Amino acid sequence: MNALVESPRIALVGNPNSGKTALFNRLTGSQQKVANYAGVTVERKEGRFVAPSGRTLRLLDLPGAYSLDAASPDEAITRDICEGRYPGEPAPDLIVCVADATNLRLHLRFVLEVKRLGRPMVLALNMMDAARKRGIRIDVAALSDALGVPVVETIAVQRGGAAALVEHLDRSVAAVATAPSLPDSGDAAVEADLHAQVRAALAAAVTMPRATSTVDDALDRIVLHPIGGLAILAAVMFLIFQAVFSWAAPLQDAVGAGVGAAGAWIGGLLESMPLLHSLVTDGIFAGLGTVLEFLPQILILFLFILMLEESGYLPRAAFLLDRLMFKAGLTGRSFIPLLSSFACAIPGIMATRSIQDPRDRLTTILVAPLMTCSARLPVYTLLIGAFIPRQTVLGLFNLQGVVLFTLYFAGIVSALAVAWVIKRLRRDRSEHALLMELPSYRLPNPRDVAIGLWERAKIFLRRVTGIILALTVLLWFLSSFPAPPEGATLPPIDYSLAGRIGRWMEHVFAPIGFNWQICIALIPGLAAREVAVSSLATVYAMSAVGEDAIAAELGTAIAAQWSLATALSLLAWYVFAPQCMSTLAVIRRETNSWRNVGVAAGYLFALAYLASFVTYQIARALT
Amino acid sequence: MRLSELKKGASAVVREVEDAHAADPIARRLRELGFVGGEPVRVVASGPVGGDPLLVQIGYTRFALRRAEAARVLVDGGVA
Amino acid sequence: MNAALFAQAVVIALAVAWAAWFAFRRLLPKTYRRLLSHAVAAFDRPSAPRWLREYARRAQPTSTSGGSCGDGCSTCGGCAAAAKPTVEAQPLVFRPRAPK
Ligand SMILES: Nc1nc2c(ncn2[C@@H]2O[C@H](COP(=O)(O)OP(=O)(O)OP(=O)(O)O)[C@@H](O)[C@H]2O)c(=O)[nH]1
Ligand SMILES: [Mg+2]
Repeated sequence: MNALVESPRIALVGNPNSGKTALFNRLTGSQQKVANYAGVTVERKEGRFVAPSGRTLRLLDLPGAYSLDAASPDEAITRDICEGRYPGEPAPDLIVCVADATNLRLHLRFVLEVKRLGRPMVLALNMMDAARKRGIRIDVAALSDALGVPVVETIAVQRGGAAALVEHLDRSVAAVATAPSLPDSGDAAVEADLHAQVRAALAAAVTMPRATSTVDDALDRIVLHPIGGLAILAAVMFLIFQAVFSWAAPLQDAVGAGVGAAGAWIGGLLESMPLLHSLVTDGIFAGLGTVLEFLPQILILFLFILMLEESGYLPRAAFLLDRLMFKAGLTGRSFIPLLSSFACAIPGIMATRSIQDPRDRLTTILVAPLMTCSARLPVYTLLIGAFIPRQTVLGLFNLQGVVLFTLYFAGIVSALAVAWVIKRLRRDRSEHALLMELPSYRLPNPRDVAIGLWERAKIFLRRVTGIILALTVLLWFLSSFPAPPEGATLPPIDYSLAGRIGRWMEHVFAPIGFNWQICIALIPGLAAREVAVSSLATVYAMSAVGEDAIAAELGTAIAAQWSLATALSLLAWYVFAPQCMSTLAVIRRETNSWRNVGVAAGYLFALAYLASFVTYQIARALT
Repeated sequence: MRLSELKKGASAVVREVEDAHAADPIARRLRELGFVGGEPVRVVASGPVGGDPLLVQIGYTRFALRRAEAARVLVDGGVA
Repeated sequence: MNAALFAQAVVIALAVAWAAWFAFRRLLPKTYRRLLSHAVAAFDRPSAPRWLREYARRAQPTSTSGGSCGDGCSTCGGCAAAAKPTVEAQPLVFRPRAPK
């Protein structure tokens, strides 16, 4: 057996948002997602670290739970692990119960519940920095006596903030090998009893100047104001989309110019080899370069997402919009998964694990792909940049930003509409619970935000140099062969396999205004949505004849060749299109049913086709 | 009196949580979150449309509850 | 066929083969892993030469959680698990660093 398998296993458990994942990252050096709302972690995560004694310890990060009496799939994971019922895994050797020192009235109850399992445990009083700032005084020794468990203080977000915990683990893990004590006898102790114990412990060890922080109170008065709050929410959303366009433009141009220059230089070197020249310039540089230009926009979007996630504003937004979600038949709990879907539908669908009711969860999963994921941003911005003039409306707003906002908004509205229809179809009268905790506000740490953006950039670049590059090369190949016959007049792509497939698909897509080039790009776009953009770039680079081929930049090419109706139709298509195999795969995994995959893909395709058809026909009639 | 009947800004003390039906998971969860006899509560804010949901302060924590959930909590000494 | 044309054809064939392999691995991770473990089983048998067995063992697919989201969206965290596969019981083997 490997030594690792025998090294002691330590589980981090505790209420949601108590900082378990932050501690896990601090100890193991990982980069798991940390954010300021309940229900961020929905899976069991494992890491390891070496204690000062040289012993390797294995650490499990678990979803937060309010109680071991699990109400949702993510809580069930935590319960099963704590009780040693998780498939293929004995109970952990030591449980670290993490509690937020500013929120002990709630968190200590769970600590006591875990204690009743009778396993070796230690309480980590986290967020001691925030507690001190608020003047909360905790007598650690008295608390430890009152609860009957060892207590250490931690600050998960500070370097060295977990030193006391590490030292404790190092010392106690050696001793734990003994059999755990028996669980205490039965369930005579009911809720009231646990709560009474918590009160007693608090009275003995904790001095709280105020129940809440003054800053939170003041901010909540503004942010949750019935009118002011909604206005702020609208302003925040609007600012994001404006920024995506206005701030990114100079960076985008710089990237574009850089890629163009590099392409021209390498193209020059390969002048004598026509085939390779075509692969490198029409395929790789045209395709990848075009996608690369969107990196600044994606990073700006994520800058906002990361800051909002850490600030604690998101649950407040959910609070404001809850009524709307309720009308649509969604639970307020759906808000955060749907919001994560703006980054990518996959984490959004995973995050639905924190939804208690299975039907609510399925509805949320089905509508999550309607939230505009960041991979659609390149498609949107390409088309908007080419067809919507850069002008100011109402003296304030950038028209391109307004259109982008509208597209996102269209996604949200259709998600609500679809959820409403699902509810109707099911004749669902069940209750949809909210029960959502609003966390304290926190200032995002610039360093963490910077790391988050860097990670995001790495992911994007890995995608560009991986799957997007591979698909671009394949597409280039299919668009170049079979080679045109002698004396052909049209560009070679017209005789190639891809060209023929595109022409064949055009019959299906002509009613919604797609030409054969778009049809070709739809296919590799199945693998990743951005690939649609790189594919269009490749296809257009290859169909350009003569001198203008070199200068042809995708935006200019399509602006010259497409009608406005086609462009709008493609935009409408992308609001709905189910074109993301990864999303479908994750729906399959999370719902364990092909039927749901079929339902999702089917309704999304139907909506996409319908929306594009209507858009195209109306736009054509008007222009 | 029920928690859902409290005005914005009003305080009260929890008497108990009532099950809306047998083995009501929402009532159980409310108890776990600290809605047990003798605990002071306060309605801090309410949603923009129809005053739903409610933002309730219990202990040191704030929870957003829809009115249907808040109606399970019986309270004493509140001002409607 | 002249040399330049031949060289081009070779480079393009390699590039396209890499692209096809990569896309296949990414888009159909389960099928890929199944095929790979079949191949490994075929090579890693006692009668095979030592280097081949070593190589086959190294190519053994590590179990990752549904490779689907490995290609892009780290916010789900599911990918971090995929990147660092959990340690299964494995015999300790020392092998010299092989040049890639
Ligand atoms: N000030 C301060 N903030 C902290 C500390 N530890 C964590 N946080 C913040 O608390 C929030 C929640 O942290 P997470 O690590 O995501 O909490 P979690 O317990 O993993 O939450 P779930 O996965 O939802 O159960 C984040 O905003 C962190 O930045 C701390 O010691 N001090
Ligand atoms: Mg977590």
